[in-house]
Amino acid sequence: MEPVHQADKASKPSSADVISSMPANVITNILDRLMIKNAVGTSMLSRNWRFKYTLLTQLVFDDHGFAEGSWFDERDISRLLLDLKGPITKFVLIIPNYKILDVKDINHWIMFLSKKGIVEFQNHNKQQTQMKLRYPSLLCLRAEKHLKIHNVLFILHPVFVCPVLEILKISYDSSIGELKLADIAKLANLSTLSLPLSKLEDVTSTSSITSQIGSYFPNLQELYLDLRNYNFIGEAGARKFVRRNIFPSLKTLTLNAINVSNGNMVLWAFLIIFGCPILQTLNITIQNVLFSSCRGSEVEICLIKYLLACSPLLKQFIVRCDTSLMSDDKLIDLANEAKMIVECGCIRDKEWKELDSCATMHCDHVRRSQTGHSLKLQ
Amino acid sequence: MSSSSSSKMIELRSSDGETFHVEETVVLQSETIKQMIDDDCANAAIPLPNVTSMTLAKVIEYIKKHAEKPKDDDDKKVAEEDLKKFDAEFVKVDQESMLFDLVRAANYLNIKSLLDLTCQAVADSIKDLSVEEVRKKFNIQNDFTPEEEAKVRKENAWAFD
Repeated sequence: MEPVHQADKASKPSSADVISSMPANVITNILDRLMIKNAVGTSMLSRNWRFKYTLLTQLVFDDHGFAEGSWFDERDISRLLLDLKGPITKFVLIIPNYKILDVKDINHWIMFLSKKGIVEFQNHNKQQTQMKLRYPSLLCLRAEKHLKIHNVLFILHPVFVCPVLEILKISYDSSIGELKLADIAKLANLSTLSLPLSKLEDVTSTSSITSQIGSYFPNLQELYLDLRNYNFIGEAGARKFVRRNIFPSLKTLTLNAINVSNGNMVLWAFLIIFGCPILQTLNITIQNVLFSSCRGSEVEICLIKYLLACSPLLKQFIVRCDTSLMSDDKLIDLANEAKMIVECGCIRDKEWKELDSCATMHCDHVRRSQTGHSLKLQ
Repeated sequence: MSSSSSSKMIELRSSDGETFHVEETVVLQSETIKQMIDDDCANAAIPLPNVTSMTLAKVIEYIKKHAEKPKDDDDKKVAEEDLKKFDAEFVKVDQESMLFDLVRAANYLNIKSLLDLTCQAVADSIKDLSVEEVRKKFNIQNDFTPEEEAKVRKENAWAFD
C-alpha cells in the first residue's frame, strides 16, 4: 500500500507541504527577504515552524507595516537578538520620530552584535532630537568591519578604536558634531572613507588635511570627500603639502560639490588626482562653473563640453567671452559651437534655447531648463 | 546554427532519465556542475537525481538567458531591462510546487542568482498574507494545541498586531 500512497501523493504535489522541508539555507534566504514582523510571525504556522525564524541573519528594524506609535519595543529587539542562532550579518535600525530609544539599549545591542560577526551596521535616526550614543559603545566594535553613521550624536569626541574597521561612512547630514582627524587616524585598516569636510574641526589648510588622510590610511581604496558647506582653506604653497603617491592604493575618488570658480580648489583637486598612481574611477560633482575670458579655442570648447556632459548636479554654468572676441566673428563661432554642444546631445536634459542673435555683441542668453538650471553665455 | 560552436557541450540527465545538452559556458553558472567539470567528472552524462526534466528544462532556459552577453554599452542597458522582464516572467509559474521545485533545483545546482530570484518570489507571495492564509497556501498543517498557539502568540505578540 505504501508505494501506491506515495505515487498518489507525487501526482498531486499541490497537496504536499513542500516549504517546511526546505533546507535551512533556503529558509534563511526566504526569511531574510521578509519584513521582520512576518519572519517572526512564521513561528505561528506549526510546531515545525516554531523556531525557524531563529535562522534569520539580516535584521532590518524599520517602520514599514507599523501603525504610528506601535514600533518595536526595546525588549522585543533584545529578545530577538538573543533568540537568533547563527551569525547576524546585517543590522539596520531605522527609528521613527515618535520613538525614543534608551541609549543603553543601543549600546547593549552593539556590544552583542560585535560578537555575532556583524558585517553591516546601520543606524538611521529620523528623530529631530538626536539620539545620544555614548562613545564607549564604539569601543566594543572590535569585530566591526562596516560602520555607517547617519544621525548619531556623540557626547564625547569619538575615539574610534576599532582596529579592523574597513569601511567608515559619515554622511553629510549626520549630526556627529565636530570631528578631529586625529580621532579616526587610528583606523589604519580603512579601505573606504566617506567624509564631509565641513565636519572636521581642524583649522589647518585643506591640503594638509588631505595629506594627513593619505598618510593615516595607507590602504585606502575608496575616498569620498564632501565639500558641501565647507570653507575651503587654500594657500599659496599648497603644492608642497601634497606629494606624489599620497594615496598609493586609491582606486575610486569622489569629490562632491567642487566649486570650479575657485582656482585653489581646482588646483587642490588636481594635486589629489596626481597623488593617486593607480586611480581607476574619478567622480567629481560640480555645482558652479564660471568660465571667464573664454577665447573660443578648441581646447576650451572641449573642456566646456566635458564639464557639461559630466555634471549632473550643475546649477549654473557661466561662460564669459574674452574681450578679444568682442567685435569678432569668433563670437559667432563660439555661439555656433555652443549650439552644436546642445545638438550633439552633451546636455541631454538641460534645455538650451536657440542662439539666434549671437552677432549682437553683448548678448546674454539665459537658458533656463525645467529643473531650474541655467546656462549663460555672456 | 550557432556561429561559435567552439564551446564544449555538457550532457545532463534528469531524475526521469531525459538528457539535455547544454554548452559548457552556460552550465558553468551552476557551482555544483562547475565543481564536477573541474574534477573531471563530466565526461559522461551528469546525473541529476534531484531534478525532474520539467524543472531542468526551466533551469536551462534561465541559465541560457543569463549567459547572453551584450555586444556594447547601449546593448547592455537594453539587455539588462530585458533580463529584468525575463526574470519577472520566469517566476510567474502556474503552480506553487513548480516554484519550490525551482528553489530546490537552484539550491542543489548552486546557482545563486536563481536561488535569490526564486526565494524572493516565495517571499513576495506571502508578504501580505495572514498566518492562516500562509498555512493554506503552503498546506502547512497547524499541529499546535490551542494552548500552545496562545503561548506562541503571546511570546512574539509584537509580530501579530
